[in-house]
Amino acid sequence: MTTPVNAIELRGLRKRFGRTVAVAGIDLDIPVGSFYGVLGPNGAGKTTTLSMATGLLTPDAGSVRVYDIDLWREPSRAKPLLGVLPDGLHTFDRLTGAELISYAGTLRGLDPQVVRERRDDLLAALDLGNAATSLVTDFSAGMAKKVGLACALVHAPRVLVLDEPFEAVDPVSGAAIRTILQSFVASGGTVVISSHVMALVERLCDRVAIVGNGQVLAEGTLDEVRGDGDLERRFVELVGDVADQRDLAWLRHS
Amino acid sequence: MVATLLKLRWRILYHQFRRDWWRLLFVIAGAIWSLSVIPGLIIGSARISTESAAVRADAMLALGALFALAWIVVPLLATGVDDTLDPARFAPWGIEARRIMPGLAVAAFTTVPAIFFVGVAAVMGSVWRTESVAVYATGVVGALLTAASWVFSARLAALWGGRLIVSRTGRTTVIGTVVALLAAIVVGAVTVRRDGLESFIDYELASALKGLGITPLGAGFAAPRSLVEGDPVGAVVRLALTAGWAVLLFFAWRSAVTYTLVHPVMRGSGSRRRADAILSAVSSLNVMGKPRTPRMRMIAAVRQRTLRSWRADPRYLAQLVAALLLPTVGGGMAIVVAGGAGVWITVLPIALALGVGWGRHNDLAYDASAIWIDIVSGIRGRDVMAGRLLATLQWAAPAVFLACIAAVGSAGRWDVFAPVTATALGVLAASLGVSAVTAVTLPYRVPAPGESPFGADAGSIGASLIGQVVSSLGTGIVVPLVAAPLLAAFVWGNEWWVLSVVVSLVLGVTTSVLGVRAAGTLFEARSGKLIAAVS
Repeated sequence: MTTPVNAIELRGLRKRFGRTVAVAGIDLDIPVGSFYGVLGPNGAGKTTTLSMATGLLTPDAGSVRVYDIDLWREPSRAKPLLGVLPDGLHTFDRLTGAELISYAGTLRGLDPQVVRERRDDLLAALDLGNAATSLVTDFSAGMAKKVGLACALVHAPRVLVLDEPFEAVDPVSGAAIRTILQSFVASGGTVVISSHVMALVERLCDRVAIVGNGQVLAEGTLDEVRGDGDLERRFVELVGDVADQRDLAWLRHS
Repeated sequence: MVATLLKLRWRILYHQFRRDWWRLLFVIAGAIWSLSVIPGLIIGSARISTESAAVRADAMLALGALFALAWIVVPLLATGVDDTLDPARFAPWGIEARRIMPGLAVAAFTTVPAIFFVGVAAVMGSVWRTESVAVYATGVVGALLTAASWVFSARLAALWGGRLIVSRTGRTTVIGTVVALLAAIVVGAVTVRRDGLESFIDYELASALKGLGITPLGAGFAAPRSLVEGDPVGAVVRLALTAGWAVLLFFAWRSAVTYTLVHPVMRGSGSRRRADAILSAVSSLNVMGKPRTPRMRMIAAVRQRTLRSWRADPRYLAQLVAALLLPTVGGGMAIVVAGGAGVWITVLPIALALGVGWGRHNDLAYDASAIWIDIVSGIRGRDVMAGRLLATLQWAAPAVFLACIAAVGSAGRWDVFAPVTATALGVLAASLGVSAVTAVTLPYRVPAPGESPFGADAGSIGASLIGQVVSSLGTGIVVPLVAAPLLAAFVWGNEWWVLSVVVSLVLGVTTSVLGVRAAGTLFEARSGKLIAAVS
């Protein structure tokens, strides 16, 4: 059996919430072994798209294929290939950090001994030593993000889909996460991240998609998308600048 | 600031109702129901206004005490208080409690239940309209002041309850209070059994009501009687006591709001747990002494993390107390009033089993969006639902078993212990099976993790109604089948006893297994809709 070219294929994805169209027909090919960045302004439909791509939100229309397996038709085959870190959702907050990772590992069908070893490795690699015995409810936002990432990694998936993985994470932990993700891609894994931080995306990703108003505005390798300038300028060109750039003179003290 | 807060409340409600317009229907239905009760109340008050002053005062005292209790118990154990203006939401604004309190107080009186009960209090005060103007005015003022204390006490109880249930010491206090309450019921019940109901009403209840009339809870309703009996000083003192109580509750509420504003998020009190309970549970051997299969490990993991919620999450603890307390009180009363004879001894354990089982009809919503971990893992839905059901069984089955011992023991009917226990456990299993299905199909919003366990959206009672009605119908169909052979055994005896054991256990286990399987299939089918449905 040949390995598919694309880790994830999105075709004609659509989602509407009442009168608001969140995703208006998105097509994306995310190649195996790529470090893929999904960029977009607030409310562009990034989280909705990633939720539909990971089995968390039923699309109104369209399909999601993970390693050529239809996620919504054969979830039991597709989901084991994915490691997911959603943004803005709760976790089982009365478990400790260690227990949450063990829980995620067990649900992925890992043997208890393997769970124990990987749990300890992840706690150390993500600098979560103190979090191991604290309840998730007492975590800072950055700690919660890191333990969520550990849960996504514990079963060594083929594809990581991470919604804002660096948000609220301190620089030291951020560097550790970057190293882990780059090493994961170097070994043949695929990473998809959403982010607002252009510098981070330029540093990490080899392919990007800029999403606005629920549609893909630009897609390709980093160089193809940013052209001659930098990514931020291209981003602003595509999604448009703040319409009313009002001067807040009253905010200045002198 | 009062106008600002009221506008804010109406604006929040307006947006809530625009988003979920059907909630408004339930609020309107609640308002119409409340209005429809008013004529009955007025007719009742007209009838009682012709009775003697003593009878009128006692009736109002008893009713008032019942309402006072309901205003504290119902928000804590059943529906929650309207949290549109939850003080915790003002925490980021750096605003002082004394600035928002007048607005919060006025807003507290603009909810449908508050408007209704202020109206009810006014009607209760009007039973004195056949007396002089002074007596009539005293009656109305006393009743309205008492109504104010009801509204304030609900707000205070929700804030204190939320604070109390977070800490371990607080939880011990709650359990202690529950035990004390149950002991009081038992004492009352034993007295009724010893002396009879009539004697209880004539002596104990009469003296309790007399005592109540000089406490802040009932003084407002007792004041007019003092005036009628030529004791104006007593009437003034009673009114002052009631007013003082309302003011005291207001300031206690203000103090609780002050605390909430600087302790905004309910957290885990910083406790640490060295052992990994999930790993211990999945590593342990199964009942046959063999290592667990991967599927059994997944079920054990879900069971273990749900059990942690039952032990440590204030929202689950509040439900646990409600699930144990309400049926136990009702069932206990039934045993005592019926003299513990015959079929009545089954009421306590079956009510408890039914209360716990039916109470899980919105089980999934309490995990809120945290269920993403289950969904993305690809775990089979039936394994998730089985783990959840087993976690509830782990504490509920022993509780039901103890209730069986208490019921059968108090009646001295150890000969029926096995069938009663089998039936109660069968009812528990069957109702949990039905609830598993509604938990997946008809979830409704509950306080999110970290929110007060005693908060409720406006119209949430209505929203919950659909899930509650459907689960009631399902339970109403299954449970009689489970319990019928036991009832037949009490009537006809003989082979029905054995049959009741077999039928209840078989039906209970079958319903719970089928319920879990159906709920699991629905969980998978609805996996892409569940997070939106519960959060």
